[in-house]
Amino acid sequence: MRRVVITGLGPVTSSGTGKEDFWKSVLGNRICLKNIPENFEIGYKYRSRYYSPHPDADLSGYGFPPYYGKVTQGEDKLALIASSLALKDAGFQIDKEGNRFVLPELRSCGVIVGIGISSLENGFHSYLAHVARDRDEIPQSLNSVKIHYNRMVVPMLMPNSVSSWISIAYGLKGPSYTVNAACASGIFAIGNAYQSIRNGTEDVILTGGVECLSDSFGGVMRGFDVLGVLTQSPDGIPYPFSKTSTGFLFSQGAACILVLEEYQHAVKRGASVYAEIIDFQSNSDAYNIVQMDRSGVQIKRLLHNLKQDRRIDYLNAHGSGTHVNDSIEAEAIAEVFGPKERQPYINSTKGILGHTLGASGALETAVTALSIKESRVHGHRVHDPRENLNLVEESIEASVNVAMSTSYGFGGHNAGVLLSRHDRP
Amino acid sequence: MSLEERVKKIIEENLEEKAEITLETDLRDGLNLDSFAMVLIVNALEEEFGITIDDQSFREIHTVSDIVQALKQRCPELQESQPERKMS
Repeated sequence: MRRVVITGLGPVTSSGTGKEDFWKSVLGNRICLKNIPENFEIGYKYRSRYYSPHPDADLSGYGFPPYYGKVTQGEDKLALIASSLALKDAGFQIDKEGNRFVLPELRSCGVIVGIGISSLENGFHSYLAHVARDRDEIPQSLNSVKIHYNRMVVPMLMPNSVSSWISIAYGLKGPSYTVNAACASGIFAIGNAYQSIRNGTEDVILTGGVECLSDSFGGVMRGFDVLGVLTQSPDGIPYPFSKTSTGFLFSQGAACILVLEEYQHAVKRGASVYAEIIDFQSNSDAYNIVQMDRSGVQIKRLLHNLKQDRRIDYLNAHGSGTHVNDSIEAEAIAEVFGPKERQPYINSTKGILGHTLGASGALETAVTALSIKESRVHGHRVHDPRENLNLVEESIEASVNVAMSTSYGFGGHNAGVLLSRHDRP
Repeated sequence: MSLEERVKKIIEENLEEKAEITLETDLRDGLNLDSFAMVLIVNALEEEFGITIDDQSFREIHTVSDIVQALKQRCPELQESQPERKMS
């Protein structure tokens, strides 16, 4: 059986970009928050008063051709930055021919990236430009924005562009596609990549997740606010798995690309390994387009299938901070792992980064791999914690040999990966 | 920035490969730009100058200087550093 290991990490978040900065922020519980600005509330009053802004998406400084900046949206830019960081972190030789990167070792490398919803602002603006006969027909509130029918609107809006741009930028000619499973997109992408390498289809795949739902007036964020799923805590911190949690902290965007590699391939080139992926499981609630099945039956099945009879040291939970979902998840964890003292360490990275939607599963898998490699488990802020969970509130040193990361997406998409120390006996 | 410089900058920023651009540069024969590359440039000109460019009239454009002259005819106010119009 071919083994699959993680050899590169490229996180791009508002709390930290690049492995070192990101990991330091996560361990230090560094939350990046902004108040809802005035221009988000021209015609709507937000219930949630905070959001986490997207990180800097400037491609200059990463060596990509300048025109990429003109024809890509935020999610493409974040995915390209994340891929650049991941490839460098994995130690691959990166040459340049003219304006293009060339990776001699990776000509047949695959790319599988998850995304929830692509940025919509270009689409909205192009539609306005299409229907308005002149500037006077555009709402005055948009005076600060350049409204223009963008001839690149189709390649910009197509969600697969995130994978395409990575393949194009680095000349990676293996299978390249995008996976969509809402908030579980990132983890499904990693699962697909794991299966492709394990089955012998590929030796190396760049995989992960990305999201960038930033727009000038907060119109997309409103779509989440009206569903009542965003945090209403007075300080904006979502406090997942607290008895008083009210919803998730909306993140405007983030990305994380991981390098997955067949173990012998990694050994031959002397790569450093974060962790081995030893299982991927997924299922569906088949219940509701937004709500989790209150019985939690499929989540329990997922956790049980991942755990089997193994000792699990750490669980990076979905932990969005949505009150009902936290309850369902907590009950499922307690049922599968038993009472608190028999449970693994449990935390929620969304308690720090907010909910990065399509990127979250990839960022949380990266956190899980780092926890194994560095023997550290991050804490997250909790108010009046749920009593049935072995929550980590302050970051700790802990030996982590086997760890799990799970994601549950709108539409009932459930998935999880199981990671292990690669040099396990 | 003069109109000539703005146009040259837009073209340079939207090329896949670096190239030296002068007013006499021929977009198709000199730079070998294909239809996709031309779409990128037209798109960028439309965004920068807040206009909609007719595809047929752009087919008659050959050099950077032709673009500058067409812009001057189309938008006489675009001489030196003029404020941008937001939309056609």
